[in-house]
Amino acid sequence: MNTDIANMTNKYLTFVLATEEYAVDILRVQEIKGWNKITTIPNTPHYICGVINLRGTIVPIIDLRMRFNLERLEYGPMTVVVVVKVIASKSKERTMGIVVDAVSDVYDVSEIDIKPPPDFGSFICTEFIKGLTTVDNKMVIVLDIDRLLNSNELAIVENASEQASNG
Amino acid sequence: MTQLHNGLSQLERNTRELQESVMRIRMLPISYSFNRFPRLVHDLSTQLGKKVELKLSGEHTELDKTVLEKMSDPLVHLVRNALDHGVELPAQRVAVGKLETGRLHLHAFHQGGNIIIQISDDGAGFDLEKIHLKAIEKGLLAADDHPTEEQLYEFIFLPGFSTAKQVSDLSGRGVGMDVVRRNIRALGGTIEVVSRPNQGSTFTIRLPLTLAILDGQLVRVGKEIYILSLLSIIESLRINPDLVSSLAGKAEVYRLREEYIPILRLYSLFEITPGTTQLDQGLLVIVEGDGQKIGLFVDELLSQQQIVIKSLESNYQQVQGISGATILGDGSVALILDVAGLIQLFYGRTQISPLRTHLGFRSAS
Repeated sequence: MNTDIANMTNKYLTFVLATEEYAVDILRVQEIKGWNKITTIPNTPHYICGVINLRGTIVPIIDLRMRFNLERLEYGPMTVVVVVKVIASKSKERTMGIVVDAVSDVYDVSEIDIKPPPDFGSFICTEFIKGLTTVDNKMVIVLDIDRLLNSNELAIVENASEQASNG
Repeated sequence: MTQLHNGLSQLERNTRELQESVMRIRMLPISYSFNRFPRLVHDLSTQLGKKVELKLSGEHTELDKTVLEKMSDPLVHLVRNALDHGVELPAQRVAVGKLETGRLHLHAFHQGGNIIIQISDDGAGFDLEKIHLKAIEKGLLAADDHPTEEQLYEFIFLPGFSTAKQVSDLSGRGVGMDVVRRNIRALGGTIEVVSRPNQGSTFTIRLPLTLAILDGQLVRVGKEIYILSLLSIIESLRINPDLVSSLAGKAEVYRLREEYIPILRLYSLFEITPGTTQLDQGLLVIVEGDGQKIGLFVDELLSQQQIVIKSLESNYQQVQGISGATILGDGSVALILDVAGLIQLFYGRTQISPLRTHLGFRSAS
């Protein structure tokens, strides 16, 4: 029975960012869309591109390249926005878009094949990485989307006031 | 063609009528919320051994149902606070030469595009000295800081801040006021407090009339389009450069008739590329928020239209100076400016005092 659970596979959507391939749980992906005109929000971190109108809801867009401190790429017709559902605290759900270079593939990955990331000390921050896995002899980085999109400046308002009191 | 035109204007009329009647249904008098207070005050004052006379006024002021629902808890909290901390015991009151019976006044009225709710008592008022000491104790202030009264009142709204010596059934736990303010801010409102020792304190809550629809003025800065609530705009004018003077090299002010109005260059506050940096080539929109006037320097005014307010917070977070967003006719998103927030942000930028960093202004960076 235990082996069944361990062998259970989840589908992951992968996308390319610079030279690496990253994966997110496909159940979290709401849609994939092209690059549209965006409205910038003043006084926000540089990796927050702004907000778009997604069928009547306002959805913030995060540039993952900028988030990971990679070189900026000009947005063009090939730029892809992956719209994901993020679970914020207290079972609150938020919809956000991430800008990636290109969408790659959908893989079946079993839970046991996701290995914890090696400890790089403080050199590389592994906070947003759920683990590493191998598909066709290629390394794929599995992202922890909830942590990535709820961290620091993206944290919801409740956290902001807590920080203020600590500061 | 004329038929299409007629049809469209007919449709416009009908939708407007529909909208108006829906809005009317949404509006409820505040007495729905006020009505529970006589009972509450009676029970609490008996429990606390205090004598309190409750006065309600402006109960017929109407406000949006959703606002009303979300305001009832903060109001109860403020009333409880006033009874527990504000109004003193009869003996104490007599000792300081006041009437034995304390007074608590709930007052609601319209002002501009806002609903104002005031909760005032004639009790002990806030002990600023105590707040000051507590703030130092908590490390929020350095011992040699000299905060203004307003800055001290700000501390009341911080989570975990209480000067009460003992925790009672009712209050003194240090939670509450921060929640009250958060709730009010979530509705796009503000709360202020004014207090005099031994004369009492007054909380003033300012709320928008409705959450759903706003009469907006579209303004352009560079390539960006922002929306200002029509109600916050006092006037718009072309700038006469002779009337602009600068204050200590930091801020610019504009002499408008008898008043000096600070000029806020929206492009520099928002760090965007403007169409023009020359004051005489753009427009100055005089707006009012939180009782202060300020001139927003923008490239040009576009059309006026009714807009549906969409929340930025549901998927993102609150942004200082922005009260929400809307979707324009072409499907693009435009941000709605929050004048009170802009003014705060602006003053935070021009005169950065060490205190401000403690008070949650960090979200602006």
